[in-house]
Amino acid sequence: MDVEVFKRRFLPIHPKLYRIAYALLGDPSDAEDVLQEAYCRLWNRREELEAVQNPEAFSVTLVKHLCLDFLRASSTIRRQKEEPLDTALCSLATDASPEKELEEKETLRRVRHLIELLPENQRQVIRLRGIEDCSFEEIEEITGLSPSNIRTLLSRARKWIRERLAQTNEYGR
Amino acid sequence: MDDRKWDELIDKALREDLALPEGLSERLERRIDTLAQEEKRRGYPWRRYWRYGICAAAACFAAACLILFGNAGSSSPKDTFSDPEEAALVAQEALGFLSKNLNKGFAQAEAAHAKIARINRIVDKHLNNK
Repeated sequence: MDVEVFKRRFLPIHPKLYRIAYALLGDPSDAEDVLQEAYCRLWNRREELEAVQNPEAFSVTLVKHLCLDFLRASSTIRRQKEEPLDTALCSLATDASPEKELEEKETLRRVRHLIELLPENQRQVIRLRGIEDCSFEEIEEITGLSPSNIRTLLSRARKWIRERLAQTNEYGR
Repeated sequence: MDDRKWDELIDKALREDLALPEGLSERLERRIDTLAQEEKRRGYPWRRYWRYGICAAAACFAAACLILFGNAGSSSPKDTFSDPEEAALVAQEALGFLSKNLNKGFAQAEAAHAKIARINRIVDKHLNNK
């Protein structure tokens, strides 16, 4: 398999692979590192990959394993993004903007911040669900969770975010 | 704000959150090009050929073992004749030989049986006379 064929076959799926890596790792630069490593490995095994029927599924599995290895290896030195909830809520509540467009932008920023504060499994699942071309079956495959578990985590995550947003709206008044 | 609107906001935030970093595609493409150039500079894909070499050597070794030791424990008789007519003649000879000796054996057994019968008669005669 030459370079052009390899690029045609594997490069178009990089957005999905990046989003999966980001959903699992929670950090954009870590996700890109994993993606670079994944493409290295795919390139080194390109002759074996000629026989692979579904390159996307193969690549998703590879990225998943690399992310798990990354999490295991760096579990003692990864930055903790959690902060005390009341501090987070205060910082969210003090930001105010009179204009509607800015207000929505600000709310989106708050939501993204709250996503960061979710427990790891809820954060991963809500981000994976946010990937447009990532089905429930793929989320099951990536996380190893059952469909009912996934739904429960999604529901809890959304409920928690809604409650915190409603709370900050109250503080803001 | 109702739950539906919050969910829409969450979905929008997720889409933003999952946006691709700028230039990601170009960086990946450059990485692939670099890997391809490095391989070309190194020459042959030694790693691959090394693997093929090991497999070929293992296959030759297995074939050699099979040839050398495969028939060692075989107990099935080997054919000594390639011509079926010749084989039939030799078989007939062998059966004839067997038959001749078998008849000789039967004759010897009959003679021995007769002797034993005579001895038994003598012994009985002596025992009855007492």
